[in-house]
Amino acid sequence: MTAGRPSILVIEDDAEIRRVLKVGLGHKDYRYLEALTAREGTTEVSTRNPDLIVLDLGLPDLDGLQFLKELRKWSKIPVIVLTARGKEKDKIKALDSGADDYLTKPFGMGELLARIRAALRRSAERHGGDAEPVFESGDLKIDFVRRQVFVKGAEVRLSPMEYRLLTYLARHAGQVLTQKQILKDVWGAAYVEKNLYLRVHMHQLRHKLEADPAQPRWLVTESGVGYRLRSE
Amino acid sequence: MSRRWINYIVPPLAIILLTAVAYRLFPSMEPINVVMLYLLANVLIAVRYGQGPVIVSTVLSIAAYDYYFVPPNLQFAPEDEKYFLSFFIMFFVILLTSRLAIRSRRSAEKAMAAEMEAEKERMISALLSSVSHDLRTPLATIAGAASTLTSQEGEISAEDRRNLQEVIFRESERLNEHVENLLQITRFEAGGLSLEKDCGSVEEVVGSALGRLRGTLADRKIDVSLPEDLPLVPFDALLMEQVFVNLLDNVAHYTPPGSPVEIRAFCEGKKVTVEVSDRGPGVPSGEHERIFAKFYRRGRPNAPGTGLGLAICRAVIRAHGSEIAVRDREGGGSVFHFSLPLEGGAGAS
Repeated sequence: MTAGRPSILVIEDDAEIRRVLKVGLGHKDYRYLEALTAREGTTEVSTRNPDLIVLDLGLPDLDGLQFLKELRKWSKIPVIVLTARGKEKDKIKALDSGADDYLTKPFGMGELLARIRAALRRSAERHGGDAEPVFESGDLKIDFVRRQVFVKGAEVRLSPMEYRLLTYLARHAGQVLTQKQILKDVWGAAYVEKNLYLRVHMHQLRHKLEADPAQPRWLVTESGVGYRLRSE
Repeated sequence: MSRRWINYIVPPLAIILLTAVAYRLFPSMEPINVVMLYLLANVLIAVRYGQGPVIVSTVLSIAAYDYYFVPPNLQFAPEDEKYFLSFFIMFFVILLTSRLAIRSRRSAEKAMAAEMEAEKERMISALLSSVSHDLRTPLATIAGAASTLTSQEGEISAEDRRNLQEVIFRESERLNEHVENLLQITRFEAGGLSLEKDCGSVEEVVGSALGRLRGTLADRKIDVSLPEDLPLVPFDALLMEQVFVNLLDNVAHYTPPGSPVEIRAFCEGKKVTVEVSDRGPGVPSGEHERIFAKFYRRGRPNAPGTGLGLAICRAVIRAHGSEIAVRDREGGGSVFHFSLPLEGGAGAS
């Protein structure tokens, strides 16, 4: 990461949204960069090397998804995608094409800032080499070394698959993961269509960890897209 | 094109058949009865096939009658001249009757078209009043608050400024809800909505719906009771989440603040039944069906919401091959309930 304030590149063609984002992001914590088209965006990425991209999927010159796929061939820079609601297929495609997160328009600035912080933190962890040996979010604690999981200090017994699923989600805490991504990374490439496996294990995990599985604190469903482990 | 062609083939065939049957089976039939049979056949042809075909079949009928039934039979004899008057009357009666029949059919069609047009206009005016009221109210609030913030920048207290800013955010979210609802119902009606069915967990969609409504339902006691072994159900998770969001949002709008909500589901045979119950005033008698209609608001034109929430619920549940309904709850309140077919969806554990 570049020294000093992280820089954020906003690729968005609508002038009013850019204006709002500039005010929201361009304050003391971040350096604000902008591009109006995918082509400008590519130039900005290669010359200014930003720390994160906020990408609008509906760009005038190139489909945002296409831009993302091109970008992923040479850069691992975190990307947060902005989409319209009801276009869950686009969200899934964006996440499967390498986006780190998405936000549905219209969104609150607080939510965007939270997603940016989470994405920058994950990116820093990736660069920092060794991952933390312990994950903690409120009353939930995962000890990766001893392979133990605690809720409110009491150990919870998990099956090996449940443990793998939970640790995978915890390593990507705060990030939306599509069903396909989770199935591929936890079960294996042959299982990407086995949504049923995922749903059943998620159900068991929730019933073991959550006080009220129907109002989960950590294991949150993003309907039509996938899951997210909410970190507190 | 082929339809028009058929129109000129079937009526003559019918007349030939009638002639053959009458001639073979009832050779001694009184001529007046034969005439009546032709008359009846041609009136039916007029109603069914219209002006052109009936003229053809009438001419054919007169020729056939003359040839087969006017003595001397099986020839066009000079004596037939004395029948000219009756031929003429027969031709005239058939044409007149067919005209009347065609006209009455046309006016019936016109009346139906007018009725449909009127229905469409009612829909459009309901849509326009909904759009103008529900979209303009938050817009007016946003414009008012924002212009106050810009024009009186130095004169408003920090607290007022914060209030106005909150109003802008909240109202823009409300506006977004309205637009989403309008878009969704339009998509349903245009038939452009395809279901993304997958083995779905009721617990998950209830969870994400409650997550989306956390603010709205903050003061409510929400009791969710789902059996741990509730099977997965094939449904479109996003649309099903919308059903729960709309039902719970309705509870928030139409029941007293702080009154409890219960969400229950159970499996019976080959279906899973879901119930959302409240302790509100209940649905007025006679309105149990009407509340699911578009733009209907329970007796209050200025009630919150777009009047589309329950209409969307019904459209979603219907798309899943079922029906949603409401019944009065014992001890007060209402129960919204629907059942989803399992269709061989596998169990959860």
